[in-house]
This record gives sequence, C-alpha cells and structure tokens, in this order.
Amino acid sequence: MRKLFALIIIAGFLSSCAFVAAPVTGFIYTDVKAPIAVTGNTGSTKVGTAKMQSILGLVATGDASIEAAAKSAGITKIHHVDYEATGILGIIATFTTVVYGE
Amino acid sequence: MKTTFPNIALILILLGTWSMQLNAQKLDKYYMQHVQEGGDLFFIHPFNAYSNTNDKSSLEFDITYLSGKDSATLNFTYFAKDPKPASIISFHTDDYMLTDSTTKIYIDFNKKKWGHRFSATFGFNELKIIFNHNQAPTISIETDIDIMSYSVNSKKWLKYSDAIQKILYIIETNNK
Repeated sequence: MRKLFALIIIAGFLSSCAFVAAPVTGFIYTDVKAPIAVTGNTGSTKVGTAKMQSILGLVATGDASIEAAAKSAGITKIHHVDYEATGILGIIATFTTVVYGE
Repeated sequence: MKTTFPNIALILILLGTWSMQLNAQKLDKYYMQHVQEGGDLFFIHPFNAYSNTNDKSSLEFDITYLSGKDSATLNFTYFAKDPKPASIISFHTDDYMLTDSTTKIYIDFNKKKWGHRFSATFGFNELKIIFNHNQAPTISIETDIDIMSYSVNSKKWLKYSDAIQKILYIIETNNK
C-alpha cells in the first residue's frame, strides 16, 4: 500500500511538473537564454522585460508578450527580442521576454 | 524497497538545493549586456523586494545604462488602490538622499489595482553611492495626493546590492 502511495505521488509529481519551453531543458535545473526575433531597426537604448511563471505545473500566471515587455520600457521601435527560461526541479518555472529597442 | 520514496525525495531536495546554490553564485542572473555600435547597453533586472510599509503593496525597479553616459535610467512600477501618478522618486538613507523627478511610461488598471510605471534618471556615480552604502535605502514616491514610503528587508538588500556593486564595477572598468 505504501509503495502504491509512493508511486502515485511520484507519478503525480512528474506528470504535473512546471517545465518551461526552451530549445534545451534540464529536468533538474534549467537556466537558458535564446533569441526570439530580430528586426531591421538599428541601435538600442532601452530594455523592457515581461515575465510569466508556473508553480508545480498547476498554476501558471503572467504576461510575457513582446507587447508587454516593450510597454514596460516605453519601446516603440524594437531592435531584437530574446528570452530567458529558468526552472528548478519542475517546482517553479519562469519565462521572461526581453525586448531591446528605443 | 520501503525506503525508495524517502530516498528519491532526499535526492530531489539535495539536487534542488545544489541548483539554487549554483543560481545564487551567478552574477549574470542580475544583469544583461548587449554589445552594439555606439556603446554597450547594460540592463539590471527588476528588483521586487520593496514593499509599502502601510498597505504592503510592492514596488519594483530596473536600471538601464548605455556605456559612455554619465547617467542611468531607473524604471519603476508600483500599485495602488487609486491612481496616484508619481512626481518625484527618492532613495533615502540616514546620511544620503537621491532624488529625481519622474516621467510617466504608463498607468493601467488590472486586478482591482492601479499599476503605475514611471521612469527617472540618476547619475551613475550617485547610484554607486546608494548601492555601496551599508544601509538599505528607503524609497519614497511623492504624488499630488501623498507620499508613499517603501522599505526592503536588510538581508535581501545586502545580497542584491553586493551583486549590483560588482556590476557597476564591471561597467565602470569597461568604460575606461
């Protein structure tokens, strides 16, 4: 009975983990940066970020849109967009969109 | 076989602790550097540990600096039950005060709160004084209606300011 209970807990844990979308992910730990887009605009003087977060894969909140990131720094001409993805053991995962521009 | 679950749990806890320690030692989680023509652009990630002493609402700020400039831009966000546009932002310690007028980026309403996003410009050397200070500064937001005061846990500030001191040193050294 205890084995069954342990298996259910582990299965539940693994099936509802908070994993973050990224080109490469780590089950134990993820901390990666990658590109999203580049435009033809030149030069950046401002940086804006927008974040979303998931806890245990059960609750996910936030607005990590390019629009939200650009708005946070008053960017009207976007130069390029990157993102950062972090996650620890499927417990907490964070995705941040980073917009550079002016 | 009976000890399988506690063993797995222990391994996961140890791996989690190890990965968090790994994360804590990394300076690049605090900032980004974009190399470009006309000067490198540095961005210090938002710091969200400040809270209002009265209504427990939060304030977060980030800093953008373009190399070669004498000043840096501090963008900040705070929430209130009513719209309260900021006119002045100040950092206070017992023996130092850093003040600047603000520029509105936007004001919006979401989840029963008014969100205020404003910008201020501070001298690079003035910011260095704040982050090198051994006392956690209080932040004051002056509006037409009142003055809101935000404070931070000393331990959180010391950890954060220690990282920012190093980043400012990197920026200054590479500027020369």
